[in-house]
Amino acid sequence: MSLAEVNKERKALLTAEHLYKEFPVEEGKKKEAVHAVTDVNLSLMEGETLALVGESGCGKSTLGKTLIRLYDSDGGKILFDGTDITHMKEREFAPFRTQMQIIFQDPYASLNPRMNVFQIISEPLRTHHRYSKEELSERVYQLMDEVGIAREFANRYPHQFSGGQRQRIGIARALALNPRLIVCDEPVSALDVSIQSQVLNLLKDLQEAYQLTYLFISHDLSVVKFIADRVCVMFLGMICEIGATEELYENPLHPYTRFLLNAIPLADPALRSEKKTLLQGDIPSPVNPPSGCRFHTRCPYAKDICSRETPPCRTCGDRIVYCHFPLGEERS
Amino acid sequence: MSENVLEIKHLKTQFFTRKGVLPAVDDVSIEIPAGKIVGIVGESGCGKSMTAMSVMGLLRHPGRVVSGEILLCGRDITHLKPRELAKLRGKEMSMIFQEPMTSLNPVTTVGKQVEETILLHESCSREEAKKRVIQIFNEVGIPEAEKRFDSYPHQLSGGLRQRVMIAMAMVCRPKLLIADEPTTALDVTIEAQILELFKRLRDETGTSIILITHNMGVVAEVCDYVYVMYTGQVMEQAETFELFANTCHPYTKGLLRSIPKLSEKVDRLYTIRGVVPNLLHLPEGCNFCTRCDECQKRCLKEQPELYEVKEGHKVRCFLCEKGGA
Repeated sequence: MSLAEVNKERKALLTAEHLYKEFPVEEGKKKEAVHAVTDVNLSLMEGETLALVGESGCGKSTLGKTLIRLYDSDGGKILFDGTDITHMKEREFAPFRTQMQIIFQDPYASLNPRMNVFQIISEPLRTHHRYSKEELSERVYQLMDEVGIAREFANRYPHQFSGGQRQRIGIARALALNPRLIVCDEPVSALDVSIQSQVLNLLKDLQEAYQLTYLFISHDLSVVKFIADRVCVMFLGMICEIGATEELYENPLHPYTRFLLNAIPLADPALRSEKKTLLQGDIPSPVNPPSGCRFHTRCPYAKDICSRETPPCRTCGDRIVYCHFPLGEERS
Repeated sequence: MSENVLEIKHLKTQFFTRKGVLPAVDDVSIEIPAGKIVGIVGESGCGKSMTAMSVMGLLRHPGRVVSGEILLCGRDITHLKPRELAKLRGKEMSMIFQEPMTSLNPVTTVGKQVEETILLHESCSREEAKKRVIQIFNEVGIPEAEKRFDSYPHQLSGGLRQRVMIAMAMVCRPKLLIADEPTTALDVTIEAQILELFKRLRDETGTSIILITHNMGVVAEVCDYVYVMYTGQVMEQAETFELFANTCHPYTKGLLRSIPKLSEKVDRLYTIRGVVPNLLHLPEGCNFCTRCDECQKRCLKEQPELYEVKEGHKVRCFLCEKGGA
């Protein structure tokens, strides 16, 4: 069975249609806004890991938070399991909220320093009145076992743990309500290499055990290669390319994807290339994004049309690419 | 005269805390040849930054260099008075830090800040200094250098700020540049640009660079020679190609294996078990013995020394005692 067929059989858990998110820059001046997410169409399949990659400021975290309604969107639709959750009232939304959780990047800032481990992990359970007192502690200890924090540490406070252990506590908290979707916002970027691999393995094990769906936000393409089934590359608030991980890495269609892959420093000096094609310049401002294709100011292949028209969505199998001149076409 | 720009000999830096003495740098010897990029890699707390701070004389209380020698171009700078050291910093050796925003002064234009370095160390007029600032801005690849002279740090992107830092560090043509995690806060495309710049600076100006990083990819990309550190000690040192081709120490092997590779698809990543031990409670024998897969009885009791495997390749592990692994 081809991957496309597998995807057809799988159900979309979360779908975004023409999603927009903008942040006003200065109050009073209505015209100015940071266009953080612009016209995003995206589907997350049940049980898959979709990675959002891109450079800082490309809107990947904003998109992640907008999708689970930590931010209100400024246009477009979000469907969770077929239900439109875009404008639901808080009370209506509560049962959906428990199904989507988030793990944050900085394990030092995302845990309340005045709460001990037990209180941190049990907080979502208490908020949603899930259990009686006895059941509650049973559940918390079970979660601690699950993520590999020894039970006797329940009374300790975050500052007594290392970064990796804190991230495990954050994961336990996210798991507490048996969610179906977890947004992992750069969960390993603040960790050392040897700890990073432990946490990545843990995330993979948990996914298998609970059929979790991950939206994995990261700027580290080697980590993404390891954990993701599909990858979505973003640039300046817009999607460049979506595709199955292996295929996308092997044969990127969008020029930006190729430059991103080229820029990764590889842990093998034999692959050191003296003349790498590097992307020049910086990311343009999202307040005044370039017209047409937002990548055209940095793109060496840009032609007239790129600065005039927003590239259309092209599909090729299960690959989606937004580019006037995708790389594959040169070859064929 | 030796042709090493910097020689660190048996350096020990300790922190005298209320809880006990922390051996942040423990008997580290490092040589930096002229015109080379030398990498120091390791996880947080392994002493890589503290080695650099000891060299620069920037240790804060309660840290102190306890023993050992630091020779800059053959001159012992270990016990220089602060005022003498200040004369060297910025002129003979300079340092750039991880977060370019916090190491630049937010209320002064970047041009003025770089100019300050010149005026401090050399006698020249302001106009001349400004000219040189613009020249160095061009050299490090800051577009529209003249316009950027009057910019404030917050008006620049992360990559440009790091370029300003590099300009500031390089403007007096130091013999040694220490870069402490210079690309960690930057995006990959910008990181690649900055690494290219380091290579160019090395080739064009002959400056030696110490590149402190946790990223094995960065090391493989630009370094000529590598030191791998763990809990304040050098565990393995070798030329870059040799280190990657013929990795000897179990810690280095573990580090390399736990990085997800682009070239292969695996179901699980290799992990080094456990966590970095507390420097106050180091194991009795080899510092790595609690996490090592190849640990033997002897490792629990005795400290291994650095054994030479090949010329220029040294490993702190009993497995390599007899010269080969």
